[in-house]
Amino acid sequence: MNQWSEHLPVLIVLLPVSAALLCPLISKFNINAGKRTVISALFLSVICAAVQLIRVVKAGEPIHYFLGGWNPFIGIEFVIDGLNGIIILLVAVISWTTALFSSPYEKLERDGNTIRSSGYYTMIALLAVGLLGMASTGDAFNLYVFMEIMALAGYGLIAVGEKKGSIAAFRYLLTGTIGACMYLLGAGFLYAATGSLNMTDLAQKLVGLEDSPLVILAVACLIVGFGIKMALFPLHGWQPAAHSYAHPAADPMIAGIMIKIPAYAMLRFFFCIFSETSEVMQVFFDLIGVMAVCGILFGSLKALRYSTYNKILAYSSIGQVGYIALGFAIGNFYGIAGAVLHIVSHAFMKAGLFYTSGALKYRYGIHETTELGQVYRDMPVTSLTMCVCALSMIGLPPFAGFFSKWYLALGAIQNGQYGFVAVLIISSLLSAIYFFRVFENMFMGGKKAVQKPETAAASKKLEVPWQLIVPMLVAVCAIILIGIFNAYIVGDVLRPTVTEVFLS
Amino acid sequence: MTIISLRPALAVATALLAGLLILLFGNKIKPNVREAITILAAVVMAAIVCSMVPEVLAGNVYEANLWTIVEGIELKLRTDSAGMVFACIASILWILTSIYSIGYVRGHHEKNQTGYFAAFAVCLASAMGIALAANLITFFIFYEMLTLATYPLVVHYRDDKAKASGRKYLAYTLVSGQIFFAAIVWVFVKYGTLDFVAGGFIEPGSMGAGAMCVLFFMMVLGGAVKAGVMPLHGWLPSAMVAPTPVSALLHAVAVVKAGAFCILRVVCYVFGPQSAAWCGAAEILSWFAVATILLSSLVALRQDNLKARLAFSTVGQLSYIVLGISLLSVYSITGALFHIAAHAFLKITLFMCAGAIFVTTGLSEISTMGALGKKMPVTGVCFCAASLGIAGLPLMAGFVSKFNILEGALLVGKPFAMAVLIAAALLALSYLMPVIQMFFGKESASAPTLAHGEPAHGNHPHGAAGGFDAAPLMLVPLMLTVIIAAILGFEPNAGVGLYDLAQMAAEAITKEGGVYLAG
Repeated sequence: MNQWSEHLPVLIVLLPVSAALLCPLISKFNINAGKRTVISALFLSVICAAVQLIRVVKAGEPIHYFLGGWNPFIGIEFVIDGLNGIIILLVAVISWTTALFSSPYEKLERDGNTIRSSGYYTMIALLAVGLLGMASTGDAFNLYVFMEIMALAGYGLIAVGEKKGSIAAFRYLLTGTIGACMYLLGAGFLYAATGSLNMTDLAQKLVGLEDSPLVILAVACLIVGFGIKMALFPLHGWQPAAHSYAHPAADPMIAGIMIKIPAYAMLRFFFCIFSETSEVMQVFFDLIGVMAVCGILFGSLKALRYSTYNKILAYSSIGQVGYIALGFAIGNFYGIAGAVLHIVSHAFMKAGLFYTSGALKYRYGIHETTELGQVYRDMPVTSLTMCVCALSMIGLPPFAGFFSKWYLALGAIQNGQYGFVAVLIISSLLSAIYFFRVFENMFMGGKKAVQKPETAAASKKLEVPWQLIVPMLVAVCAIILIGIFNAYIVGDVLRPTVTEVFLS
Repeated sequence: MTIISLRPALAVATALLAGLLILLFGNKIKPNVREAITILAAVVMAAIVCSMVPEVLAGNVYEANLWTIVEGIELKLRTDSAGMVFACIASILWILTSIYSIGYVRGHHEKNQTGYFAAFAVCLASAMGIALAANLITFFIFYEMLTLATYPLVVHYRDDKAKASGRKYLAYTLVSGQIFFAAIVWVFVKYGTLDFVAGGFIEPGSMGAGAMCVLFFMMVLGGAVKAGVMPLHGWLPSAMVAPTPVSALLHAVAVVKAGAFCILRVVCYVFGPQSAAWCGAAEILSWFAVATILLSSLVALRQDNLKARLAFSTVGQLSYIVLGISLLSVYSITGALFHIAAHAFLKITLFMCAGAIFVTTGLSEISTMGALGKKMPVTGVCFCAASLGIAGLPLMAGFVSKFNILEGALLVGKPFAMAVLIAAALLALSYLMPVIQMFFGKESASAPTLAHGEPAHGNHPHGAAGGFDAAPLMLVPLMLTVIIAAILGFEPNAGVGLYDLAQMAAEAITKEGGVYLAG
């Protein structure tokens, strides 16, 4: 038993990897068995991630896991502390719910086509692998490998989406590749400067090298690399199309966590590896702050212009990613805590909103918010999810979004950055405008949507199949629970990790 | 002495649970069962609240520390005397308003009754939370919950007009709420605490006078919008498109009183009279209140729609409370707190009368209400009594509070404020008396037309030929509220000892000096 739990860090990643490899094979024999393999593997990952988080919090110090027993100089190291313990659990939960969410959808589309079905699930599993790996790894080059796995699976899932999906995927492919290259360059510069790729080791060897041009160049490359991957303004160009046209069932994962994990990686680099107190880093933080502020305002204003549901959500993400970057720019404990809390809560909010978008498409084929017409009468769970997620997004208590905003504002005022607080407030109000517009259509709209004939039979008792309802309820519960018990996450899990590992 | 007890939390939870039950099962159970849940919850909540009164009067407080809500601050409910005043009124009036609501929505054949009763219950839960919150963050959470829960009630009719006023309501409340939020964070960073302390925890001179003024108004803004202090009152008359019991709730119990209570908490429990006077902000606030009292009365004179006239009357009456608070003397604060109660009972009667008239006859414009008193004598008499109370005539609750505020103004040496208070009483008479004149006067010349103040859904039994007065489910609550208002006028301590509670709170707030001179 004890031995098993020691291998948890790698098990979490290994389970979806094997599922991804087995899925096409099993699907040859039984089309449903393949998809069940992926769903159950991801579910096991969720359990493992939960156990791992409990272990890390109890131990009070990071778990170092050497892959294959090789020591870090040669081999790859996974480092799990309280912070990425939470992130890994988050990724596992959303990957699992998304896989579950996909199954009624995929049943409609596959037409008995094995490749289509198994390919879809393989990509979902691989996307999960990339994200879980990025969150676990303690090695700069390994991070690149996982980032590419993530990106490749992402390109696929966007391309199999709606009509314009392939163009959106191509666009993301071009920009995403630049982002990955930038990251690789940055990591290369760091290797040139220190001769190491292990993150713990890098941190030690970089002391005193803050002003070296090589390191400054590396930081700049990393900002561009991660910035593209997390769709930070002005590097967000690929994101609105990708989020709008991706496969509706995979969208929650793409929009919910695919842009969050690079943000987490950025946090890891900037606060664990570089010393955030050096003058050079301060300049970069100011730069990130400017990007964040512009992104928050740009995203929120742009979202006002659209009535297509996915577009609103996509532009809102640009703003919300800005919140996270704002936390980095604030740079004190509350700033980081707010950023991490926002990574987690926004992942659930945005995934939840895309679940509702998917459910609406499943039942009615609705894309435009103007077509919602009192849909709440027939789809109460979907409407509830939408309300909770959107209110949390606006930042109203007692939902999770309010509390991440609270910590961000707290950190900003502690640093005397009053302008940031003003930006947070303005962005909240702007998002209130676009989300209440959606509410108006949902609760007071005139036009009534017509149910799609092919899904009418399947949803006699429930509004949509249970596989669609469970993910929505998971998101709702997560948002409420994170909101109510945020103090335990911040006080008991983040505070020890962040003050010891990040701000030391 | 502090009694650790879950009772304050139970009071909030009862209403919240009722709201949840109604929302989940409202469409599946019979309307009677659904309404039974509402009334049961209202009675239970009132019982819980009233059961805490004796200990509070004896100088003890109940405290419920629920859990840590953000790092370093707990979600905490506490029954101090000021909170108890608000909690008692809200819980008692909820019983009466729910009974009235049942009569109204059925008489008026409203749609979406489930959502209506659920939102109502959540509103009351938030009002209770606002009354009992022990620190700013708990307060803010319930404050924003109230905003959200009221929105569905404002847009109840779901037409363009309702949508427009819903937007207006949100624009006012959300903007001020966000500014309030920023101010709370600022206070927490600067002072490291958010707990309400009678007399305030911000010391004079702990920050520059200008900065303190800014902070003061950032916080007061949150309350001033909901309390309808001019120029922030715009949402209130538009929110009149809602069904009348909602207006009664909005304008007598939940929203506007929560706003006034917010100002009380900020001025007396965060800043404290000393700081508020030191930075000069209380003086400025009192001028806003004075202006509102006068202007709103003048505007009310010109409204022909009964509910609109009552709305502007509310704007003015709420500023009495704000004025009482900003005068910072022990009497005026007692008066302000008691006015929360007095105005609640009086104004809810007036709105209930307006609603009863509307459902029974379909009339909403004052000019069409000629000789209505013959058809609805009881409603007419109750309206008359409540109007006199609002104007502050002796032997009604309104007199007690206004006299206290007047006394406070005298003590702090503000003759102008006194003059305004007296002038406003006369103005109140002048905008309410014409209504009564219409009631008991001649038949109006113009034929009764359908209301345009409230969209007509459902059929109005015009003329109410068959029955006597309004339906009993509406008539009884409005008679009860006016009787309570009258009893409170004779004996302000009747029942739960509201006057003593108000006085205790005011004395605790001003305990050091007794009287503070503003400015």
